Amino acid sequence: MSISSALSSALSGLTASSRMAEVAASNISNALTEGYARREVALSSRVIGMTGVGVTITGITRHVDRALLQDLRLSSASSGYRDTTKDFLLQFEKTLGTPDQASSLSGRIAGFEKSLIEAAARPESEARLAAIVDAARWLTQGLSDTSDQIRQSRETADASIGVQVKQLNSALSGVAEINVKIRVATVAGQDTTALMDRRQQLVDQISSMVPVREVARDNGQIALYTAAGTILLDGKPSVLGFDPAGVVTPDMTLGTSTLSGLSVNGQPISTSPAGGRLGEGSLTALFDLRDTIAPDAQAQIDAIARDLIERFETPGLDPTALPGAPGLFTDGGAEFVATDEVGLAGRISLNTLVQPESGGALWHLRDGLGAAVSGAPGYSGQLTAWSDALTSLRAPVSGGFTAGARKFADLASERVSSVTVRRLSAETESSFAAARADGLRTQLMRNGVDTDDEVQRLLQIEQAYAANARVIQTMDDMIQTILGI
Amino acid sequence: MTMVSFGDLAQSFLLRSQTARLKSETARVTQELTSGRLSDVGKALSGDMGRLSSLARAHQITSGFQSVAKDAAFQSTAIQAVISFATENTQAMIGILIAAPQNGNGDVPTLIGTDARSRLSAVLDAMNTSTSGRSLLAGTSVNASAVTDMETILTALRTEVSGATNANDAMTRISAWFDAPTGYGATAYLGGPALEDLPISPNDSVWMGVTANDPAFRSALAGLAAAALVDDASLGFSDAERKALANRAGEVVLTSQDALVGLGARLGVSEVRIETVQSRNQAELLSLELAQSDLVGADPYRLATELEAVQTNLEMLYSITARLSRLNLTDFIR
Repeated sequence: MSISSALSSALSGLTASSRMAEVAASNISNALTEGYARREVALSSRVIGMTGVGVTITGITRHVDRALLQDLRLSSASSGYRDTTKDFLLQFEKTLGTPDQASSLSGRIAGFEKSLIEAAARPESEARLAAIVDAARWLTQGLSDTSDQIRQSRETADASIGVQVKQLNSALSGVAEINVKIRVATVAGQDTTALMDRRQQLVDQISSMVPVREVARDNGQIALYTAAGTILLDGKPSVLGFDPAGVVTPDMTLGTSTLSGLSVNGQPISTSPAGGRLGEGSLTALFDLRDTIAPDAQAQIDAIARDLIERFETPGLDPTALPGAPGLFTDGGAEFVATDEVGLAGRISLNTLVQPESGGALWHLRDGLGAAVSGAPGYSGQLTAWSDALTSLRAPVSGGFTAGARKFADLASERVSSVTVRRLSAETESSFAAARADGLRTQLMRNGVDTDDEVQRLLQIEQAYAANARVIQTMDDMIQTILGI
Repeated sequence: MTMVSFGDLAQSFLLRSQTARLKSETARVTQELTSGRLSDVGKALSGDMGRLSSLARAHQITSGFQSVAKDAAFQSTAIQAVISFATENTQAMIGILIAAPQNGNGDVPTLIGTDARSRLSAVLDAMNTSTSGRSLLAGTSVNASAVTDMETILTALRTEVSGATNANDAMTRISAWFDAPTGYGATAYLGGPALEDLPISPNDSVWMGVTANDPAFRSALAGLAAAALVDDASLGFSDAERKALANRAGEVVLTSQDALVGLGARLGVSEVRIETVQSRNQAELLSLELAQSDLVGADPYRLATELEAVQTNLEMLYSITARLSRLNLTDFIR
């Protein structure tokens, strides 16, 4: 019987070799597929009765370092979180501009001051008065552009949350589906590696939005928890709920329920501080942006607008001003009311009394807003008073500035400085997080497919296949010899 | 069997991320080199924009003051010209006016009267000078004439002096009319209150308040106007009395000289200050620009070195990439 058992061994060797060739081919073809885990055929000697007869394939091993993958997921989520914050701050800083550029907020303020100084020398000159109006409008435009940019960032964040929540829900149900397939396949003893690859990609996708921990369950299934402990998938997938607002205005907040929060299976869940019960990922970063960082930026820019308006509403600054009438700068045409500061930067406008194209007259700049008729064209007192209003020391009422009185220009430069400092630290954090994630990714890729290694393996497989075939031929010869007797 | 292997992706990822890093570095250096300005000013200043912002603002403001000072210098030069014109014209009259009583010639009053009228008219015209659309001596009413014409003044004076018995009386009445706010100030001076002090730097403002209503101009005009009335028929004076009036007018003109010189000197002080401040502003603008470029300017020497280094790195990376891509087993096992 040993000849036939030898034949059987050789046959099992052939099968094993061709299976190994198949796996090597699959590995090589996926050499550039990110998230593909290198497979290896696990072999052991086949035992029939008490004797070993040939080789058997015990399974296909996916080579993936779970701990490393877990680290990578957490760090790429954290990198996404910091990137979102950094991008917003960078954009905010750009809108405020570098102070030495005319289009920056500081540059616009200096331009306005300059126009007032120049007009005071020639108060009769229409051109110089018109230059004040232009410079003042350029300044209010700068404030409202900044405010609009913040508003848009919040709107985009709100919309992106909606998209991400949808992606999360579909990815979670995808993972749940694959879980079922893997269970069935495992029970039936089939190959599940392709399904596992697919599932890993889905989990990677989830973890870029919400940092997740993968926990192994029976029959190759997995459960997903957020880093902070919320169940996302354990048997059944959780359903995340969110209502995008569509249009976001500065006065809409989570606190007043004009903006939607996040819910898991219908239960509201906190997303702050630092990601709350979800942990730091790009989803919670968007919440953070929409509910904290952008409103803070809005409040800071509103405080600057408020200071500007109030400087020009100082009693006695313009002796002709009527009580209760707005000053040179208005809240959308009306007098500023202290309770209505949110979004002020977007509404601030120059008083129409001094704008000829809105029915006003330039001489109001020279003679006062409440003056009934144009006075002496050479009178520069009011223009000097306007310019003094900008340079006089005044303590800002709102905006979280440190205590102390300062010029208007200093207010803006302080703001730019604080934004820049925050941006720089966000940039440092984000580049640290990115470097860490990149390091982990490289390490993970090192465990991936190495074509040289596979080709070497193929050489071995080829040899083994040829040897096994040779064994069969030899056995055949031996049998022929016996039959030929 | 666990084998130590090195995934293909890891290598290409490493090479690609290095290439991307070096290329972005090249882009930054090239941009800074061509623009001469740091690409990330905030980072270079560690986020403290206070200094840059105050420098940039000071530059803007100072250049604004500089244009104001230029205007002021131009204006004060023009006013000085008017003052010296008035001084010259009155000075020329002094000799003939003072000496009138000693002059036996009977035509003297007529000669004096004619000469004085033409000079008075010339001085009044000069006082109405406007430069670049701005009336110089009209105070805040920069778009109006400073003084009325000669005939209006003389008509008003004729009413004023009618009934005067002697030259002294007439001269007193004329001077009184010029000094009274209801006289010259209301009838002849058409301008407004004096201009306010003009700021020409954050800390300096200069006096530019010369108007046609200034006592110096008033007394010069009073002297000239009196001389212009010397041969006036409405006076009904004797020849000797007319010559005496001319003499009195001469005295008034003489005293007005000091006042005019004083006015010119006072404006001269402003002129000197304007000039000083102008040159100081100019120097300040220059030093502000230097300080600003210190903060945001990119150093070309450093950048050139950096560019050299980045280039070397990039070339090295390219040759490594080329070598590594040729290094694979498949190519050797044919």
